[in-house]
Amino acid sequence: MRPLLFVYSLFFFNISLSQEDVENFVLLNIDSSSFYAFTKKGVYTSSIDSVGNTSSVYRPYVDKIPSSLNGIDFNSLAPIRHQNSIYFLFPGGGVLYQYKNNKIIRIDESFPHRNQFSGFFFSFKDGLYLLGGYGYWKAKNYLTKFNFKSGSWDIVKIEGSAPKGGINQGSFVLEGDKIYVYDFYFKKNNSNSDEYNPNLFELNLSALKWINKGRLQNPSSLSLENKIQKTKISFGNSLFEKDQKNNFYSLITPSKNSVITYSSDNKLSQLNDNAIKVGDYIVFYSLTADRLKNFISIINISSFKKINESTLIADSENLLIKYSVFSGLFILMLMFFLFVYFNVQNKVFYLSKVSLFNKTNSINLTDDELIVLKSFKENQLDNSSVLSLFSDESKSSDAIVKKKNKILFDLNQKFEAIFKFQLLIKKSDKKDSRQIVYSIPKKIKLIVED
Amino acid sequence: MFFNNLLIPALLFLVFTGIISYFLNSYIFSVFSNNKIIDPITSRSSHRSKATRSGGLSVFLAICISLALASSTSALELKPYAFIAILFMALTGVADDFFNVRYREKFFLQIFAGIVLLQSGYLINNFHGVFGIFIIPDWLSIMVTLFVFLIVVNAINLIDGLDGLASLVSIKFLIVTGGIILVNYSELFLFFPIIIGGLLGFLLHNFSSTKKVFLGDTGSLFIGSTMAFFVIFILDGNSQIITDKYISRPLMCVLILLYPLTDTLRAIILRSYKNQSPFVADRIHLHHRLADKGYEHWAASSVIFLISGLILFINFLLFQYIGLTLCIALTLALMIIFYYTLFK
Repeated sequence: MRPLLFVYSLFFFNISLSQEDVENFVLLNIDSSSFYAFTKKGVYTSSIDSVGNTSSVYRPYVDKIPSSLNGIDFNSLAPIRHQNSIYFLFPGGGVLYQYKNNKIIRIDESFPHRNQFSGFFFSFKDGLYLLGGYGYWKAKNYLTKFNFKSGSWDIVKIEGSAPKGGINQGSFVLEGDKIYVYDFYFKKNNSNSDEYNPNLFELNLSALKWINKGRLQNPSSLSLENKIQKTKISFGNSLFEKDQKNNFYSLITPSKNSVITYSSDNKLSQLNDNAIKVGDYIVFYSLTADRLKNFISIINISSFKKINESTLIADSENLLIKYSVFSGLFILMLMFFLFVYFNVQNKVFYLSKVSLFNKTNSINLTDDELIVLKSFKENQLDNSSVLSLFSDESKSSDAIVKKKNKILFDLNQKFEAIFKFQLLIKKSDKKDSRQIVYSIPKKIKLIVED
Repeated sequence: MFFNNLLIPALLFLVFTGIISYFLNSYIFSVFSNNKIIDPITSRSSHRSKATRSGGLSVFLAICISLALASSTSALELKPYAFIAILFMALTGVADDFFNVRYREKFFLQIFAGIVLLQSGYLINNFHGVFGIFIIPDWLSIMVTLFVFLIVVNAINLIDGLDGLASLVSIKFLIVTGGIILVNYSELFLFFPIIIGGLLGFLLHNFSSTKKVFLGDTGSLFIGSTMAFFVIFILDGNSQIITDKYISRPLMCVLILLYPLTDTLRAIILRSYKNQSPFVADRIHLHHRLADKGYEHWAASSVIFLISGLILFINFLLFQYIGLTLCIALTLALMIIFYYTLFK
């Protein structure tokens, strides 16, 4: 069949591809100024000139597309260029098509048994890979590689701290031999609910190792349902992300830990997930107002203004160090407080019927000593009051004084031997220096037990 | 961005819960005292003045008030099943404090709480390389999770024999775990200042001579089950934990619970050697040795707090360079040295 040539020149930024039936496209960039628009019947090769005008060449396929593609939306295929060929992956993985010699053929011997919907289809070195995805009520975190000899997909063994519970609706950026994965949901082992994983992961394809790079600075607050509506476009080493509701978009570069937000000036309201980057342009299609045909838009985004710049992940190690320093200070303060508290506070002693004790030690008391200590309701007792405790008409006052002195001396000695300080201090009264008073040190608190 | 913008809320909730806990402890002490619900002084008692076992209840109520406030301001995300399990353990403790629940019944109630906790979705489903084992089957992970829950809850219950000890050991655990949670799960972080605040408010009464308050079973089961939940959370293979870069998860969990686990294991071995029940109450715990050597309670508790913190810190520093086996050997060597210099 001879190729037909159509040249379209439309107004600035816009091109309309008129079709008899409403037909979806699979867009794939060729270089910085041209792209393919695949349909079920043929392919447009379009070029964008320096002022944004486009021209397209249409070539119908030389053969019918595989029957397995008839029943599905063509735009649900994931396209990729790999070693001078173009491949299309069936939704969920497994079935793989190749575009070669102007026809699409199925090349796998597989079926979508692993179900990796929303997984990341990419080319690395000599292989085609599919990472993560969702299916059969489980999110997956494994990497599968297409085996061109057997036509099947094999699981690649990876080490390290893989995202536990899988990667559903993740954001992926391929840069060199590293894939960055973030902003995704996962399923817990024994739970049906979708949980958000707020971390950035790096998969090193050369070392085949996962690394958890840290927690996102601003984890998404979108529900899984709303997240599916988010537009993500591979943008070199970055990922273009736009929420349909917002009038701005972000360029996220995980390797530089950078998130730059731009205003979209209301020109990207029709953007969808099948958009691609071609040079400075975003190319996407959407239905016209009468919904009879698809309409391809080309928007130059180089003139959009930057409105914000931030980091993708929080500096976890720095955060942990700050926390450790703060915690260390807190512990020091706590210990210091305890030390001061127990050294400054009153030394509490308890008086039972037979002993005087604190938390650590005790001394036995005689009845006379007990009577003396019980009489110390305040911390001070004058000499006459102490003497009155031992008043005995049958004894001389000299004998009573001697008895009192001996009791107090013995008590003080006994106490000092155990607690290393004097309990009763003899001194003259401040009001009347001729009077003698006995006092207990102010730091001591005496509690009489019931 | 300090602390993911959580520094101010964390400090506010720390102080707020501390104040509430302090006043609730004071109030509930009065209520218990007036109703003669006082902890009896026995030969094993280390207190000689009037004391109540109302601390746990006060701490629990103070924490509940703060948690309600924190979650209503969207600063904190509660895990409902975990909270139900912890609440159930706290109520078991209340019953035990008032009516002395028999150990066998308490054990079954703990298993029930553990089963409720499993519904929260967190399981020890990975050995993280211990004995060369990583992912384990579901049935085994359920058994291991329940076992760890019971061990941690009872270990905290058993070390609650010295003023401030259970609280300080718990505070150490919460400080370390709080850092891990802050980095990867900041929506759970406010738990930590809230619980620490509650314990600090309690500590002032616990150390008091005149208004002495003990945690009681309410407190030890409540704090123990909270700690058990976070241990299970950390050991869950699905959890992303920043310390994986620095230290093995199981080793870290053992180290943050070093004293309760060591002391419980030692007590059980010694009691079994004497043909006694492993759960019999006595004074063979390591902390009793410190008290018997003349250390005041606060000093003994602080020594244990600092030693276990030091061992954890050393392991954090050296794990990357010497690996798991040498870290375990070093930890054992340090424990033996400390035992012979301080506890023997």
